Amino acid sequence: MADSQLLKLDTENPSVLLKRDSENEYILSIRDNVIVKEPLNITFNDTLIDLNVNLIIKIGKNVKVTIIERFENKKDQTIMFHSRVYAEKDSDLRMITYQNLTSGSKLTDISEVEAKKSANVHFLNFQLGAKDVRSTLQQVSLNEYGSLNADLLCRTHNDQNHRFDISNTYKSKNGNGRIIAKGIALDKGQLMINGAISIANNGGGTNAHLRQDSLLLSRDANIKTTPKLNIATNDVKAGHSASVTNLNDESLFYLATRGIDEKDAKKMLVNGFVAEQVDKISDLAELRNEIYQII
Amino acid sequence: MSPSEVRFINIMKTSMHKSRVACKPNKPIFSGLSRDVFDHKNKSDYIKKFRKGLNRELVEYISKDKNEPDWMLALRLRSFDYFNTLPLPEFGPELYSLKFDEICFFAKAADKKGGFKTWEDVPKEIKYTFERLGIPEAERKVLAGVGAQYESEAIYHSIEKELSDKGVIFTDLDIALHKYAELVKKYFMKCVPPNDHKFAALHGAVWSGGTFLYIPKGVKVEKPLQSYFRMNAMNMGQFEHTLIIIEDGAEGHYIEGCSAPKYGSHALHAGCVEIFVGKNAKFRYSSVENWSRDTYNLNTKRAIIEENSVIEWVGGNMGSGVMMLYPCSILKGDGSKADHLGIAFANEGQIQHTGAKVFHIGKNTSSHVVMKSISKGGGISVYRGLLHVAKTAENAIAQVECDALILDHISASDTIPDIKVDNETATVNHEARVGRLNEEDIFYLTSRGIPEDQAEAMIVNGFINPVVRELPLEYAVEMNRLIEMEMENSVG
Repeated sequence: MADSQLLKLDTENPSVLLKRDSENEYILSIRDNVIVKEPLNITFNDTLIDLNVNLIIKIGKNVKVTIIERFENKKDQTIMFHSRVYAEKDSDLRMITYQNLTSGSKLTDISEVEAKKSANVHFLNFQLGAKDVRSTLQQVSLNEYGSLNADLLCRTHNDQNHRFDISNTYKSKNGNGRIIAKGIALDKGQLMINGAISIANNGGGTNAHLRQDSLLLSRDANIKTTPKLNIATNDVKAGHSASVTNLNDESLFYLATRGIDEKDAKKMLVNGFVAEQVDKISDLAELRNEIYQII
Repeated sequence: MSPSEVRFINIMKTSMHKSRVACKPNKPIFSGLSRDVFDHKNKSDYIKKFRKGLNRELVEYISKDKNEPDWMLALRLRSFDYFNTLPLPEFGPELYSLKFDEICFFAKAADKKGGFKTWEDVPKEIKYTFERLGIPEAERKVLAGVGAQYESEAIYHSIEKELSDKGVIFTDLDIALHKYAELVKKYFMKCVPPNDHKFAALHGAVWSGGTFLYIPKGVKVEKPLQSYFRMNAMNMGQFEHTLIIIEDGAEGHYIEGCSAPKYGSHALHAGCVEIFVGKNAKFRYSSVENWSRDTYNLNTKRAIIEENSVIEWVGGNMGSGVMMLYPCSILKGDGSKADHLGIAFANEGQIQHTGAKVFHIGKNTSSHVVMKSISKGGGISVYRGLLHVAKTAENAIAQVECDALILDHISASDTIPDIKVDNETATVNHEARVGRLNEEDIFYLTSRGIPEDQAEAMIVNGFINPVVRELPLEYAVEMNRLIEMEMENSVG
C-alpha cells in the first residue's frame, strides 16, 4: 500500500466506490439494489506509526453485502478509526472486524450505525491483539422493523487492557435484534464490557436481548461487565444476562475420566466457548480458521 | 394444558385461598389500610419552634439537646464538614431540586426524653396515628418488640421481658448512646462512614432517634421486632439511625415500616442502617417503605457479615417521589451468605432507584439477589446494582435476577448492574427481563368473569409473590394491600 493511502479496498465491483473525501476521510458507497457476492476487504496502512482515519459507509437500498475490516500489522501502531454507517431501507449489511495487532499497538475504534426501515445490520467484532483497545459500537434503528445484531469475541492476555461499549437503540416500532458479547481474560489481562439496549417511547413491539458471557482464567486477570437496559415503553420484550465463570470443574473432570489430558481438555472447553461466535462466519473458512488458531 | 398454564392456575388458587383467609372475621392487622390512613395529618404547631435549614449551630444544638458525649459531637461536626465538601451523587435521579434550606432537620412533637413507657402515655394524636397504622395491635399479636418514631425522636420502645432477660436490647438509639455507651461507640458509623457519600455525611451531622438492637451470643429471637418511622409535619427531614449488632451464633428478624402524609412540598428522609452479623449467626432485615410522594428517600443500609453467617434483606418500596436505596452486604467472613429480595413500585411522578450491592471478600461466599419492579402511570423504576468479587474471594458464587413489569406505554424501566470480578474461581450470573402483563393471562381471567383491573392486580400480586412470601403473614398482607392501593384506578 502506498504510504499516502490510509486504507485500501480490494474490489473491482463497479457498484462499489471508495473515494477519499479529505486527508483523513474516506467514503465507501454501494449503489441501490446490488448484491455484492464476494466480501469486501478493507485493510489499513501498516507503515504509519499514528494512523487516524474516518470512514463513511453508505449502503444503498436493497443492498446485500459483507465488509471485512482487517487490522493487522508487524510494527506497533496507534490507530484511531471512526466509522459512520448508513444502512438504507431493506439493506442487509454484515460488517466483520478482525483485529490482530502487535502487542504494543493501541486501537481506538468507534462505529456509529444508522439503520433505516427494515434494514438488517449485523456487526461481528473479533478482537484478539493490541495492548490497549477502546472499541465503541452504537447502532440505532431509526425506522420500523430495523434489525440490529452485534457479536463480539475478545481475548485479553499478557497485560492487555480492552474495553468494549456496545449499544443497540430502537427509536421506532417493531425492531428486533440481540447483542452477544463473549470475552476471555487470562494472564494479567483486563477486560471491560458495557452493553446496553435502549428502547424509546415509540419503540413498541420491539424484541431485543443482550448477553455478556466471560471466562476469567487467571488470578491476575479481571473482568468488569455491565449489561444495561433502558426501556421507555411497555409493549416490548427485552432482557439481558451476564455471566463470569472459570472453566467448569465438572466438564474438566468428565473429559479427564475419558483420558483427555488437562491441557487438551481446557483447550476443548475454550473452543466450545468461542465456537458460538466464530462459527457465525463459517462461510468465511479462512478467517474462521485463523481465529481458532490464534485462540 | 401447557406447563405455564398449570403454574398460572396454581398461583391463582393460592391467591384465592389467601383472599378467603383474609375474609375471615379475625382479619389480618394491616388489611384495612387505606390511602387516608397514610395521608392523615396531625396538627404540627410544634414545628414553629424549629428552624428550617442546616448550619453548624443546629448540629451543635442537636448534640446539646441530647446531652451527647464529646466524641459524638466531634463526629457530628466532622460529618457536617464532609457534607459541605462532598458533591451530590453523579449517578441516579436529579437531586438539585432538593432545597436543603427548606427542610426542617430537627423537630420534636413530644418533648419526652427516652420516650413513653406505655402506649397509654403517648399523646393522643400521635397514638391515634400509630393505632391506625396497626402498630400497637401488631405488637400485641405478632411482634417480640416494637419501636415508634415520630418526627426526629423515638416516642416508644418495648420488648418482651423474656427477651430482655436473655440480654436482648431493643431501644431508642439516643438512650443507647448513654446506657450502652461503649457498644455504641465501638460500632456507630463504622459500617457506613460519614465520608462515604454526601447523604451519609448529612446523616452523621443531624441523625436523631432510631433503633438500637443487640442480640447477645447464641440467643435466637424467633418473633420479629419492628420499628415504625413516621414523619408528620410539612418539609420535615427524618434521619433516624438503626444500629444492629448480632453476636456469634445469634438469630433475629427486624422489620422497619415508614410513612408520611402528602403536602405537595419536599420532605427528606436520609436514614442509615448498620448491621454487624457475628460468626455463625443469621439475621433478616425487612422493610415496608411507604413515604409520601413528596419525600426524597436517600437511605443507606449496609451489613458486615462474618464467618458462616447469613444476612437476608427483604424490601418493599412503594412510596417516595425520588428514591435511592441500595442495601449493601459486605461478605467479609469465609462461608458468609447474602440474600437480597426487593420490590419497587414506581407510580405517577415517582422515580425509584433501587438495587443491591454485594462485596464478596471472604472465601466460599455466596449471594443471591432477586429484584422485581413495577412501573405505572409514567413512573420510572431503575435497578442499579454492584457486585464485586475481590481477589481474596475464592469460590464465590453470585446470582442476580431482575424482573421488570411496565404497565403502560408512558412508564419506564432501566436495569444497570455493575459486575466486577477479580478472582478466577468465581461464578457470577446475572439475568434481567422487562415486559408487560401477558395479554393471554388477562384474557384467561376476564373470560372467567373477573374484571380487568382486578385481573391485572392479581397478576401483579403473583409477580411479586416470590418476595412477599418471605415476609411474616401479617406483613405480606400489608404489602399486598399497598400494591392493591397502587393498582387502584388508572391501570393502563
